Amino acid sequence: MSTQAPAPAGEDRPTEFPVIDTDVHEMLPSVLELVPYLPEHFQRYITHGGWRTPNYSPYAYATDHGFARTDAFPKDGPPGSSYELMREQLLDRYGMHHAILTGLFFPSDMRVQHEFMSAVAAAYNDYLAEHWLARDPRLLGSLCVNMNEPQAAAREVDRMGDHPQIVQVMFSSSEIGFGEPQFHPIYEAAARHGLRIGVHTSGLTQTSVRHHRYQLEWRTVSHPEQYMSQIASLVAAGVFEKFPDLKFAMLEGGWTWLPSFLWRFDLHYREFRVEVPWLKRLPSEYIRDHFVFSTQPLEDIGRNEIMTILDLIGSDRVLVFATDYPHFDFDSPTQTLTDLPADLRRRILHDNAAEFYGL
Amino acid sequence: MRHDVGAIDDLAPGEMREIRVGGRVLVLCRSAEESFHALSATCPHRGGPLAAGVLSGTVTSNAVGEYEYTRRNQIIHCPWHGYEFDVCDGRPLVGGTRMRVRVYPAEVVGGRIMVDDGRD
Repeated sequence: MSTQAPAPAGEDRPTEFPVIDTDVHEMLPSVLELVPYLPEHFQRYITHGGWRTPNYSPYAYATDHGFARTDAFPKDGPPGSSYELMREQLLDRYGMHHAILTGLFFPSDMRVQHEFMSAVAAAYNDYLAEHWLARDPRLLGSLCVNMNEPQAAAREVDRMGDHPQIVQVMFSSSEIGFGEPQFHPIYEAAARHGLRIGVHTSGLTQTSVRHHRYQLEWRTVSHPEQYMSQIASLVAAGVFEKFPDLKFAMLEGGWTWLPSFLWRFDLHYREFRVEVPWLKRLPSEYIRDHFVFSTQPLEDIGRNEIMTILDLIGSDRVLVFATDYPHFDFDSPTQTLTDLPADLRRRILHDNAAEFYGL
Repeated sequence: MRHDVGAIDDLAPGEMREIRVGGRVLVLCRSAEESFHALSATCPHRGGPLAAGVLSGTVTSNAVGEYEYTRRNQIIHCPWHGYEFDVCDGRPLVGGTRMRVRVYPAEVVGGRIMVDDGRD
């Protein structure tokens, strides 16, 4: 069943109420843009050493128009690198209340000198504040950090965390469970500034068979598998007992798998609770209270399936809307979830994100 | 009702563009020297603007590990999500008829492209 009622091509009507888009990818035109924001000794890694952002896409082909919408290529630079085009195609076209910029720039994945990566993360944040956030109050930002240096990441959160348009700290996937103590300094810092943690997978995200032969397999499995692993790690480690206000936004990894995951987690908690006696509630209760999940890419399901799954999850507060602009699998706010009851549609496209991020 | 939407030389084989006829927004495609197709310009999946997509071919296979690039200039790839549609009949290459794109008759008359908007 399809979830949309397509409007005429070229439609540019705003949604019937302001929308909050929780996954919008602003991109650097070039890593050379970061040079002015780096200390001189690290500037030379780029200007003289020739370092460039690695292309770690594990697959060479997505569609006949690459990994972005055909119409999202600015005159110069990669899709997502032009504020003007984003404003036209997303913010103004749909009357967005807020778009949360999540980047796709993960120093933790680049695996060169850790100190350099921490400096690059800080440079990226300064670039983000000056070239994006300062230009439009509808834009909200995610802090780039080097997860491989948690103490430096925590210092960066302290440095930038009170910026009025910064709403979260951005994590990519990891082979290390997010519940591990090494990440706790980042959580302490996020909690100090009232920030959420946003999680987005990257080209380095792997599954239990590591690198799948085909993108089809990888796209189907990798994001949910990574998120199940990280949620299990966070809950079992007692992160939410230690940091009761900490919350995570799990982006682009799906959500329709949640009922099975919640039931299975609760079942095994009843069996193995003595391992983790610091947990005071069922795993499913922590998850409902501490996580939201973005809708994009929404499977080809409709009202009946969505309402049934939300009923099984036991909450209509866990879903937040996302377009994934400017990527090829963009979900339009006027074409997605249109057959839901009006109050539920508004909750998913606006209210849940507003409450989660305190907007 | 038939509409004159331009001369055949306005569109090269392998090209497509958005047209408006009889109040409808369509995408006009030229798949071969004498083959023109007019389809609804809105993707039935999530409303993507098909005219902003790619008109190209697709890949088929007769056995595991074999590839054949075929149907050149006969397949529209939607710019949002990349779903593929056959310009000849509007059918999606994957899935049932629920996601079919409406096709409008198009033919060449005296060097002009004529499209029927489906209305009397």
